[in-house]
Amino acid sequence: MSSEEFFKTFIKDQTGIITKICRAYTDNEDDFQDYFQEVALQLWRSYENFNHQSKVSTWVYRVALNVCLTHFKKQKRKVTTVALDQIHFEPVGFDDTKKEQVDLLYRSIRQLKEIDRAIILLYLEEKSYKEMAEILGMSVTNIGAKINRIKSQLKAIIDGQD
Amino acid sequence: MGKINIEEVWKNQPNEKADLRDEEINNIRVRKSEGFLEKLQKNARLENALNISVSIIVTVGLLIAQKWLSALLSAALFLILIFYYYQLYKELWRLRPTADVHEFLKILTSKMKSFIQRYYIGLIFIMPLSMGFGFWLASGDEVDWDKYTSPGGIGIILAAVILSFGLAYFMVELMYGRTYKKLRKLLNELDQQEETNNE
Repeated sequence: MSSEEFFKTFIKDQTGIITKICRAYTDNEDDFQDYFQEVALQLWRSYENFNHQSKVSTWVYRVALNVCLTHFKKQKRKVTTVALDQIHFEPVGFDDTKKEQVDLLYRSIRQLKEIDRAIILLYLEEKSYKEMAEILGMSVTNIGAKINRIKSQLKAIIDGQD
Repeated sequence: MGKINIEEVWKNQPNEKADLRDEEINNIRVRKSEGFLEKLQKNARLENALNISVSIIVTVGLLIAQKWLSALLSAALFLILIFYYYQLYKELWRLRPTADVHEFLKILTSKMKSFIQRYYIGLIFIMPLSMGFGFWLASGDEVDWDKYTSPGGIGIILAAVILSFGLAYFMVELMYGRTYKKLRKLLNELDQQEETNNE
C-alpha cells in the first residue's frame, strides 16, 4: 500500500475523532475545515515518528488536541483552506431533534475553558482515566475529581441555554 | 428542549468516516501549515536570513575599508550565527505535537521563552555593542571622546538606546507576546488543576 493510500485509509478511520475535537474548538465551517486539515497534516507529518508504545487512538487524540489548543489564529485572516467535500462542521443527513441536541451540546462545550473542553471530550469518548492521563499529562487521581466539576458546569450551561 | 442526557446525546451523534478523494489527500499533504510550530520555524528562518544579510554587508564593508581585524571578527560572528540557527532550526523541525498535552505546552512555552529571552539579550548586549562599534568605525583611528561625552552627544546616545529598546520591546510583543501569554494561560490551567487536587 502506498503512503498516500495508507494516509487515506487512516484519515478515513480517524475522521470521527478529529471531527469531534475540531468542532469543540471552532464555531464555524471555515475554521472547522482549517483545523481539520491542520490536524490531518500534523498526523501525516508525525506518523513516521510514532513509536507504537501507546495506542493509535491515544496518539491521534494527543496530536488533535495539541493542534487545536495551539492553533492561534489572527481574528481577520484570509481563509485559504480548500473545503473537503465529505467533512463538515455540522453532520448532514441527521435527525432534526437529535441534531439540535448535538448542536446544543457542542455550543455548551465551547463555553468551557479550553483545557476543560479537552477533559470532557475524553470523558464523553469513554476513555479510561489512565488513557486520559496519558493524553493530557495529568495524574490519574486528578481526572475523576475534574470530570464531576466540569460535568456539573456543562449541565448548568446547557440548562441556561435551554 | 427539556433536560438532555449529555452522554446519550454524544453517543447518538454520527461517527463519521469520510472517504477523501486523492486530490483532497494531496491538498492536505501539500498545504501550507498555519500552525504554531511553523510560525516559530518561519521566524527563525527570517531572523537567520536577516542576520546573514547584515553580517555579509558588514564584513564586505569592513574588507573594503581595509579593517582586517574587524572583518575577521565579523566573519567569525557570521559563522557562529549560521551554526546557531542551523541547530535551532533542526531542533524546531524535530518538534511534533505528539507529546501529551501538558508536555507539549511546556515545550512550546519554554521555546517561546527562549525566543523572547534571545531578543532581550540582543537588546541589552548586542545593540549597545553594535552602536559602540559603529561609533568606533565612524571615528576612524582617533576616537573623539569629547564629542560623545558632551551633553548633546550623551543625549543622542540615550535617545538612540531608548528608541532601540522601545522598538525591540514592541517587536517582541507583536511577534510573541500574545501567543506566549495564551500558552502560559493554558499551561497554568493544567497546572492549577493538578495543584487544586493535590491540596
